Amino acid sequence: MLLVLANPDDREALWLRTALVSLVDMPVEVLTPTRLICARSITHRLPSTSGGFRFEFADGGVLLAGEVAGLVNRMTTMPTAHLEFAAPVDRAYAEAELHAFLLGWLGSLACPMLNPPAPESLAGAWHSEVAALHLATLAGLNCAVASVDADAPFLPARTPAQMVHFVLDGKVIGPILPAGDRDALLQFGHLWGTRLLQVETARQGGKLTFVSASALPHYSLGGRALVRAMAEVLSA
Amino acid sequence: MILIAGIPHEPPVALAIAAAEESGAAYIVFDQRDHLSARLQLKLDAVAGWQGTLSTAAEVIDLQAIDGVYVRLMDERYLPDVAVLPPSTPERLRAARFHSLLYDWLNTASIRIASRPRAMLSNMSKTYQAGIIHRCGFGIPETLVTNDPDAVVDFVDRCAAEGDDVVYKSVSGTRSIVETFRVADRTRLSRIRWCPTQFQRKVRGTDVRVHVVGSRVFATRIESEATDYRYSGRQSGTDAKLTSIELEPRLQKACVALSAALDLPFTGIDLRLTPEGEAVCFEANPCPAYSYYQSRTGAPIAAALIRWLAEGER
Repeated sequence: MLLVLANPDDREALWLRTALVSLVDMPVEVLTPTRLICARSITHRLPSTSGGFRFEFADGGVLLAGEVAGLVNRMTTMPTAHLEFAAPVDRAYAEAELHAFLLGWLGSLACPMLNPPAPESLAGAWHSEVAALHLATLAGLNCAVASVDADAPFLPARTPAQMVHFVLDGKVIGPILPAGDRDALLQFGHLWGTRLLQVETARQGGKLTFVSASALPHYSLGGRALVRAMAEVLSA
Repeated sequence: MILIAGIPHEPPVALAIAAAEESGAAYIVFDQRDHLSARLQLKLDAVAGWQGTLSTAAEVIDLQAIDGVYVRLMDERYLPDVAVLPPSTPERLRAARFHSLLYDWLNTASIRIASRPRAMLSNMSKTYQAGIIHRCGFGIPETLVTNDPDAVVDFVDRCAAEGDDVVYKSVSGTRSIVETFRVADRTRLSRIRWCPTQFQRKVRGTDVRVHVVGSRVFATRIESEATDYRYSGRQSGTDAKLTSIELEPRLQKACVALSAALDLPFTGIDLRLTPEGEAVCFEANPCPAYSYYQSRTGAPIAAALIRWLAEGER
């Protein structure tokens, strides 16, 4: 089966699930982080030759390593409500442990994943706005003049986005671009360090100008072309 | 020019400063305790990315003149001048902004950095890092992370039947003392229901700490009766004995490869060499407290670090 790991109110995840169902010949299910964390029995074994993982949920359902053919990872928040009444020191420790477990578990999955987790974000590689501008510059995208200071930390207001593209495993999906601009987007995706990236840009003085990027895409903006490409990657 | 960023009297930083002084390399020190009066200004260059200056009361550092940085910064929330203040005070907020911007520069600057704050995060999860370690050709301990007491009992019994103990320790980067699982621990296993906990089959063999600096390798053998040699005095009543050793070339290469895979040009790798000849790796420390090892073995780790930072290859 394909799993979409997302909060129950994540509209993009729900939209994607519906869109994927007609494109793959296997079940597509949404798994919430809360269901995952509140599983009655969690076992994760390393190295994976020792058995991988097993989640046994409160309703008797079971999730085994061999059942997951692909995973869409939108784990933006980690459920911690069950730790609410612990002493602050214990809660902080347990939260760090829970995060470390989830990062290790997601990182151990052998199936195709969009996007793989990263230490700075369970949902995949993340860069600050300052770092994103640097990567965009290195990739050859035009960037608005900017300066920043710890005492004046705010970057200039972003140019409104005019175009949205998705970089997925070396492909650019979205409105047709000149080859140079397409290459810059590919390079930007590579520097960002994730498989699927949404990039928003604008034309300024004829140059493709970087506006923002996210490893948590709005799939619906990419439409059928994006979902088809994702289905291909996830069922590989 | 080398920038050494940290608390100057902290042993690893102090050794790096002494090594820079001795080598004659050009260096400057950013004392992290000056963070509230320090100023960091960055401007986006259309080709080179962010450039700028780091200013303290004593000097203005042109960041373009920096070829290498040794990063040994502590979590700014625990710096003495802000640790006692409520989280929303201007000083705390400013400390957070300053460090966030400093980390942005350290994460993006196209110079030698040991090591980039972003790369240091892999150590936040030992099981995440274990995957990378395994792919680099090292053995990893048989590990169970679980919230299920029955699974722990099965694991402990299976290991015991094969003559092995089980140890438990944190999964996260939070420092914990490695302890052997005892019969008495079974009575409090229900506590793990709240949070998956890490258990490992105890690996027999000799502890070796390997410091990698660029492509140079410094290995130290540790002899101790304790489960966790860092707490040898407390756990076994005697201090650990540390000796410099030469690793076989295959292992040296694997350590350098692991360091590169983690994007950590300076790292402290914890190995155990088993009687069967396998090298089992527990973790790679992204900001190693190498002074403990250098002071006991004389290995020139700080000198190697300074040399690597000064070489200037981009």
